[in-house]
This record gives sequence, structure tokens and C-alpha cells, in this order.
Amino acid sequence: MAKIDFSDDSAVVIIGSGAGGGTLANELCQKGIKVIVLEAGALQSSATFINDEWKSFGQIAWLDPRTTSGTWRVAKDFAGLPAWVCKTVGGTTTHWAGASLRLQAHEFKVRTTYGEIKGANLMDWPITLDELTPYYAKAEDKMGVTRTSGIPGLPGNNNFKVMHAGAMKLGYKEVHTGNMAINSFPRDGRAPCLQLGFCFQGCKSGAKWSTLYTELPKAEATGKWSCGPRATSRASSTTTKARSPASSTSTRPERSSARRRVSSAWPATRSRRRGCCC
Amino acid sequence: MRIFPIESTGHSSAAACGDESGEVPKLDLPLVRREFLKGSGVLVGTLATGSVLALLAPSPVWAVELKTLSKNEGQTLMAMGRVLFPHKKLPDAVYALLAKDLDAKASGDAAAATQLRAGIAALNQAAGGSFATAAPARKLEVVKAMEGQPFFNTVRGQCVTSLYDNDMTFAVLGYPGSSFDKGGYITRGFQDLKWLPAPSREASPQSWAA
Repeated sequence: MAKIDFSDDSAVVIIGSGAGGGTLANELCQKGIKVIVLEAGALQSSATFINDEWKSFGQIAWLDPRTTSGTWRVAKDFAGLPAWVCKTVGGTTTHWAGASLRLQAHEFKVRTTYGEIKGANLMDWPITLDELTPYYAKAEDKMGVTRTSGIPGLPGNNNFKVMHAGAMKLGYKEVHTGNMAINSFPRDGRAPCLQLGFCFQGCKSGAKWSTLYTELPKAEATGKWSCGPRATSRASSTTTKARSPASSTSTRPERSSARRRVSSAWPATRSRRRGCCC
Repeated sequence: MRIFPIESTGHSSAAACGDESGEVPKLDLPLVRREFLKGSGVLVGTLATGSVLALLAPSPVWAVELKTLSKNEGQTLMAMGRVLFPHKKLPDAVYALLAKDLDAKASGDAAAATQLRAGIAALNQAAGGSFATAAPARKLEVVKAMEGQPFFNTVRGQCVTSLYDNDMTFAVLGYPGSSFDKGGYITRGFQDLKWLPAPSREASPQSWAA
């Protein structure tokens, strides 16, 4: 892992190591740009993920108190827990299902397609499917999305068989096991799906794409990358000393704590990682 | 043939326990039982003979220690849990976990203890003395009248994990739990459904393990 000096103004600081942050970090590192990723969560791995819903929730979910309001059921039953998102290295890419569908052409033009809806501020996207298509293709290849880039689909489980039979009866013409960022065969140094049934608890076979064991180790391999897991508490206690607190992306923790984090947090856990692509 | 002397060879440490002498020395272990009885109350019960759990459990007798609430208060919470989430198949041992977890909450938080005690007292009062021994219809009526109150929400919220996140409930409901240690389901019937026509290879390609 790179040692990046606090005064190095060529380095980019990225907040969060999930789908956006983790991917961006790798892309910048591949271009030779130094990157520091600040991540609020701790580092886990396929080896430490737990095949148990509640224990896993304690391990990777965002447990800080949050609030919700309104009349929906969650506001009544679990007001402090409005969404199952993650606070862990890799962010919610550890937890997501892997479903990777492209928007369809008409969905870029929702306002045009559906007309005005009273009380809503419906808009068309300023871009088209054609403009986005090459980037979709690139993302699908990186993430190993089934039925793209020559990757076979996943085998259907019993649930799929029931859905398939029902959908065919209803007259659907195209019914298949979907476009999933889950390896149907070994790919990119990652194992194929074992049908564990615990996608949401962190994939223990590494078949499902997560920045945790794809983009982040690839970024690390460039030697341009530095990451500080569990960054929130220390960062928040030092933000008053940061130079430009107005912007969250340029808010940097106080010098010594940043060094300590960069030099201690990641290497200690590195040896525990398993099943990486590098 | 080796012969082991029956009389003591004089060893007294754990390290001396071995194949050579065959002796198992008595160790100076802490008296766990004495610690156990320090609590405020103990809930005990028996698993029904022949039930799934009785077959799995090392002993049909179970016991749950309470640190703050009394045995009676614990039993009242168990009874309320059964009213909120009635499962004929779940033994009292599962509902005792609810009492145990709420007791832990009370032990760590004085306000929670106050709320629980007041709620339990209200249950008993509404039931005309003892909620735990009231008739099922009366219990339901009493709990329904409390719906939406903070005490009600505390108990109901705790039920979600206390009653459903434990091995006993998993076993009773037939939930197999962790699968990674068994290699997942890729070779254990994840697509063994036979009562519907098989989807095409295009819709459902062959598994890498096939």
C-alpha cells in the first residue's frame, strides 16, 4: 500500500469504498493517480463473512442510529433502522443481490413516455441509452455480468423453476435467470456460485462481484492506493482541524491521525484476505 | 498387554492426566453452579419427549437465569411472547429466551427495567391477578388492549430476534441455517424440483458443477 504524504496535493481522497468509490479508486490508480480511500466500516473478507442473517447484520450493516418518519410501516416498527445498507469495506456491494440490468431506451425518457404526473417532478434523463451503452458494456465486463461479455447464465434454482413456469403461462416470451454480477463459472480469479443462499450476508465464495475483492485489491496492486477502514470516528473527531471543512470531499483528517490510519489499519488485516483476484 | 494400576499414583495436576496412568485428577475448577444461582430468578422447563428438540438437545431439561427480573416476571413475559407470536410447535424454552433477552436489557438500563416492571404489573392487573395463568382468551384481550404502548413495542420488537434467531426455532421450523460449511446447495438439490416442466437450457443453463 502506498504511503501518501499529507501535503501531496496530487492525491485524490475518496469517501467510501463501495460501488462508486471503490470502482473510481481502481480506475484512477490504473491511470497512475494516487488515491486515498476513507471507509467508515471495518475490513471483512469472504473468509470472515457469516452465513447467519442476524450475526451478519451485526457485522456489515450500517448500525448507527438513523431516523425515518411518515406513515409507512417501518417508521412505526423500526424507526431507527430504515434501510439495510452497509458500513464495511466494499460498502453495500458486499450485500447487494448482483442484479445488473441496463435501463431500457424508454426509461431514459420517463417524462416523454409517461407524461406529467401531478405532484411529481418527473424528468427525462439528459443522456440516452446509446450514449451509455459502451459504459454499460465496460461495467458488465468488469463485474462479470451473466449473459453479457460471453458469460453463461446462472443455473436456475427451484424458485426460478416456479417463476419460469408461471411467467411462461402468463405469456412472457423472454424468461431466464437474469443478468447477474455473479460468476456462473470461474472468472477474474474468483470462484463460481455455490448456491449458498446467503448473497446478502457477504458472498463467502467470492462469486458475487464486490469492490471488496475486485476493484480494491486491483487498486492496491498498483501501489498508488491507500485505504483507511473505520475512518468515520477519527475523521469526525478531527474535521475541525481540516483545512477546508466546507467541502466533504476535500475535508481531510488531521495529519498524524491520517498517517496512523494509513500505515496501520490495512496491512494488519491484509493477510486475512482470501480468494482475491490478485 | 498393558496394565494400568487401579490405585492412585499420586499425580495431582492436569498435566499428569494421560494414557500412561489412566488417571483423571480432580481439578480445582470454579463452582459454576454457585454463580448460576446468584441471579434474581431461574426459569426452568422440560422439552416434550419425542419432539425435534428433545432428540437434538443434550438434556430434556432447560434452565434460563435471570439477573434482574424475578421468576414470576420472566414467566409473565414468556406468556406475553406466546400471545404475540403463538407457535404451538415452539417449546417454552424458546419463549424463555425472550425473557432472558429482556432481562439483559433491564440489567443494563434502569429505564428499561422500570418500563418492563410497570408493563408486567399492568398485565397482571388487567388479567385480574396473574397474567401467566389467565385463560388464553383473556390473555389475548389484555395484550390487545396494550397495543401501541411503549412496553408492548419493546416486547414485540425483542421477539423478532429472541424468538426467531436461535437454533431451537431453526430446528422446529426446518430452517437449515449456514450452508457454506456444507458446500452450499450447488450439489445438494438447489434445482431438484420435478413437478414442473424443466426450463430450457437457454433460460437456465447447466451448472458449472454438472
